[in-house]
Amino acid sequence: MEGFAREAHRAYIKRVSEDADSFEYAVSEHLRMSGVYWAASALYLVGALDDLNRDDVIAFVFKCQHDCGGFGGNVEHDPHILYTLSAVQILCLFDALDQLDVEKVLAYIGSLQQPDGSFYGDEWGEVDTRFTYCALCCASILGRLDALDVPRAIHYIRACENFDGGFGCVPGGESHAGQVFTCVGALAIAGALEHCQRDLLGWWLCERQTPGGGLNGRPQKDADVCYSWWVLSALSLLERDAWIDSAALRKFILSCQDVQGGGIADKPGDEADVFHTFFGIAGLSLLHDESLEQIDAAHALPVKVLERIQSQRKAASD
Amino acid sequence: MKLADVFSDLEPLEQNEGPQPVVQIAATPQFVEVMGYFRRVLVNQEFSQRALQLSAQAIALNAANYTAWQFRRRCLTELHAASSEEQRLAAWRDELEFCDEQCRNNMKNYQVWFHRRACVEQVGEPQKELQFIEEILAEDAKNYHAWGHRQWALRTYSLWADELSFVERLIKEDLRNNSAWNQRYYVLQHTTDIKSPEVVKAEIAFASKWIEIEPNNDSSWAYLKGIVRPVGYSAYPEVQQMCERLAAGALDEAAGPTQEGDASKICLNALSLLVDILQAQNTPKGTARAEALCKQLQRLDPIRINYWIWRAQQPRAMG
Repeated sequence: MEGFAREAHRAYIKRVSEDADSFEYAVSEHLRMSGVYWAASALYLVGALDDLNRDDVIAFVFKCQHDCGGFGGNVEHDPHILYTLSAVQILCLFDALDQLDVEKVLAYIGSLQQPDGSFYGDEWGEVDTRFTYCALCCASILGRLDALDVPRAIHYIRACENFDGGFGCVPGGESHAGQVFTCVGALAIAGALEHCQRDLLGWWLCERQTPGGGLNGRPQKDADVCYSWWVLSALSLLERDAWIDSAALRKFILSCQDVQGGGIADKPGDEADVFHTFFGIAGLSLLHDESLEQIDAAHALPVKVLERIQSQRKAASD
Repeated sequence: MKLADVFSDLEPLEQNEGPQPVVQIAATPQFVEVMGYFRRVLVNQEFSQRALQLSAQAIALNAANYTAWQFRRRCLTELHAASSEEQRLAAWRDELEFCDEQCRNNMKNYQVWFHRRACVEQVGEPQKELQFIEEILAEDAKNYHAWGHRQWALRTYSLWADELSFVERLIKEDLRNNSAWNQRYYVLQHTTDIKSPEVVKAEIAFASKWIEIEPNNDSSWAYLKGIVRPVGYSAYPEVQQMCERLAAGALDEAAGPTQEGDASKICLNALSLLVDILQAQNTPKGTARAEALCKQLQRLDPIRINYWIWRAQQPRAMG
């Protein structure tokens, strides 16, 4: 079997980050911020963050910030909580949080919380547990969970729990591994994992492993590399990750690599993209691949980066 | 008419992201032109018919452009701030029609479904939504957004009356449609006391009917467990009886060495639920039998072998 094609992936990420003429580049204009986060995180995990130009990236991030404190997916795009989290995560990766007006970002995130504890994605009022995760993750990274009404946020997440132990995007929404990650991640960040039915949910998550070793997002769906991250991170936070067959999953992820051209696809034989490249590498990191930096399952940031932020915060308060 | 003529009074606004292309955009000339004018009307906050049409072009190029969708809502609101109620409704009806097409073409897009909800709220004719979603589900029966939209319409406008029969029809079409099973639970949760003995009994019968037809269906088993587990298996011995019967074949098979492909014939779900039920009984006999079953499952479900090892040691895990 092929090994992990580190150098090919590194070259691929650099190439797609710079090739402004690619189709992928054009259609991802509205989520460029997340694209930069996926690229930068993947590069960090393979120990090559320096492949991106730090100053350019940071300048771009701040160009997307609005007066309200939120960030858009690109320059001139409206602010949204999804891209606000990506922006904060990028600044963490590049050790540039000191340039951020933290209070302003917190004010923006706080303004999106609703009386029922849920979060809007932006001023237009779409509600989704993804946004709850973004809010809690962001506030946690910034060391200011106190800026949000965390008990109410937990209450809302609990309302999204289903009969199978999984979670949906709103109360009643079908259990979906992506939403399970956001809910379990948010509860982990809030220190409230006792509200999950760990064993029932752990079983639902390990049922996601298909005979081919890959993980799917819902019953009867095909395996897809992105669930390597969502399912495995949730299992890992629940301390149930030993329940799946790690070797089979690793083999599946590696089979989705483009060994020559670099990058990882959603499934074997498909074309690679940055999104799946990041989630594939993040999955391998959670599987304790020793050639990769370790990733934190709750914050989706390298463990080293979070440790650095914590020690900086401690030093600042001492 | 060419864009350059429609917007002859405006200068297109280029995407300006800094010196390095790591964060720069370039695409087809059409993309560049449309987005150039669109950025300009955004910056100018121009809420006009031509700007509304331009946003449709931006959406045609990329339906996930959430800013373009937001702009349309804002634009329609501003354009009809002083219109008669009739004119305003007509405009939003047109918008809903625009949305029909967009939903069909971009079924997995968050923005279009959220926009649709805003239109329905303006127009206030939710009955049509159920029909529309049915059409969408006919193409993609598990579309997460369509189901979410349907639940919203049912809940917001109390349209529950025919939903159970709709769901049953979908299950008939595909008994593995997990979204439909989830919807059944959702309807009962909102219209009945889902823990009452009558509902539990009726739902056991419903799920069992589909399990008998196809014993290897995770969705019907998950539903059955979701209904009975919260009220306890002991009051409903018919569940254990069914498991025993369906597991019997599996146990015969399990007596011999398993071969590749055997697992698909063996009803793992029946064995698995039997473990739950026996362990919940909390008797020495039940626990011992559950442990033996877990040993079988380690062999029959090797990809989850660690789970079954753990289950054997955790007699109260799913009780």
